[in-house]
Amino acid sequence: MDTRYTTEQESFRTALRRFLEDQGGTRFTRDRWCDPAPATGDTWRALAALGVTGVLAPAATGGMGGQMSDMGVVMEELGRVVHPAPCWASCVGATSAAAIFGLDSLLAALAAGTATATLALEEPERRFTSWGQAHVAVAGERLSGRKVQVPDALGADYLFVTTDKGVYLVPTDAAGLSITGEDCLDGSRRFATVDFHDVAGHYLGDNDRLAPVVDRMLVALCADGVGAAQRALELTVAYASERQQFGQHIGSFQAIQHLCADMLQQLELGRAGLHYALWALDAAEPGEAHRAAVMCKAYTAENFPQIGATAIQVFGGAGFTWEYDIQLFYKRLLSLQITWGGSETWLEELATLVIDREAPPITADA
Amino acid sequence: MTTLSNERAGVANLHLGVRKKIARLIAAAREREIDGVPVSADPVARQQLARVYVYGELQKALADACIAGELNGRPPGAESSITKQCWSDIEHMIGETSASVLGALAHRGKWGDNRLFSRATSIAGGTTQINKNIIARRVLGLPKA
Repeated sequence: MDTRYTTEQESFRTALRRFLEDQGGTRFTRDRWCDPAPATGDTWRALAALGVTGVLAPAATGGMGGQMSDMGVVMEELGRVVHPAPCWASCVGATSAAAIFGLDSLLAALAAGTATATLALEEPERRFTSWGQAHVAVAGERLSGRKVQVPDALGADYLFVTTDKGVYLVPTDAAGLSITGEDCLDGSRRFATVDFHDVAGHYLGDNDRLAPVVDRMLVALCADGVGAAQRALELTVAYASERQQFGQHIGSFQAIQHLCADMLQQLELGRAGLHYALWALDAAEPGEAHRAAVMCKAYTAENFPQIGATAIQVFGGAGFTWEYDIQLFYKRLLSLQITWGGSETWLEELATLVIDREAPPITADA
Repeated sequence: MTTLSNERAGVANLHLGVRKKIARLIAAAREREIDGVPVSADPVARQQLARVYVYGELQKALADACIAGELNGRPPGAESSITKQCWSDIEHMIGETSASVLGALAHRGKWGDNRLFSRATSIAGGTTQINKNIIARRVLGLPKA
């Protein structure tokens, strides 16, 4: 079995890449850098028309009924232009959650791009992996407490919230709810702190039913990282091939060549982990999908920021300027590093999966 | 590129040896106790063991991608050019992790031999540095001096 993308998926990638370039590529993001308003205007509607917002929604709700491997292509292409659209939160996270809980009318709106939603899981001063043992308290179907690092909450219509009683669906216009944008060095992403003061919500089910959704989110984030890191490497090779010092292209120096080779090595090992994880999410049993997702995030979080850092080193002073795009990719990879748990968190989770068991599981033959 | 593409047949099974060693290292860390506590319960050792485990598993994923590429008639991609040096990096990492989690047990025997021999993996079959030269020029297309 081949875990790489199919010819059809590669055609979808080509069409999406052309569309995103027509929309201005990274210029689109630069115009919206650190903008608290969600990027859900004309481009979002056009992405919906292309089918991007509905990739994971069932066909019966107007979606493509696609798999995570289809979504991997989308996330790579969005990462390639550090796109600010709320795709990760809404089209991967909320869409997968809505499917698990059978919320068909919400699925239809998410697939059509007419609504967005997100997952509010992480709590202050708690490891991300504690998202299922939540402290947001429910009394009489009303929520109180705080969630942090909630992606694309500003402008979203609904939140899926883990609480001490299970998962609740909360509309963002509910009384007692406040959403405050969090500063982030990566202006292409929007995180928010969400405060609940006696907010009415709708009970959906146990927290652990979101576990497969979290695994999908981790892997989708890594796919975004593969797209961003691939582009960072391309830009770095192009710059090193053109920039001259001492009468020579800097890309002809072994010192620079080896830095670029290091970037490729880290990228390709991460890509191998991504493809295995996408395959596992679509075809393996949930335990194996979880292990694959955790490995993917642990590796990517630890190594991909280094790809960006090496790129900045090759660019030298130019890498510090706003005019060159390379800094956008470095920032995207730096935010990936700690979004929804850093490598320490996921290595510890992996330790509980493989070290604390008598026979450590091994990677299946995909 | 022919040399690199042929390389992929030769390096596709390298993950077997490293993954066996990693499983043995994890088992040894479970058995060894420091101050009455298994090393496998130490937070630092857990990070190191989990990290080397990830690299071993990704090495298999990389090898599988090379084999699937060959079987499906794809031209060799970047994955086949980096497999050998990823493997030698893991061998180094296993040596270092064994010293760290097994302490004096890694002075001798299999783990001692392994620590010494791991140096050969980045030299034999093309040094890591020569591989990087080739990757930079032939895969990435960086200019000649």
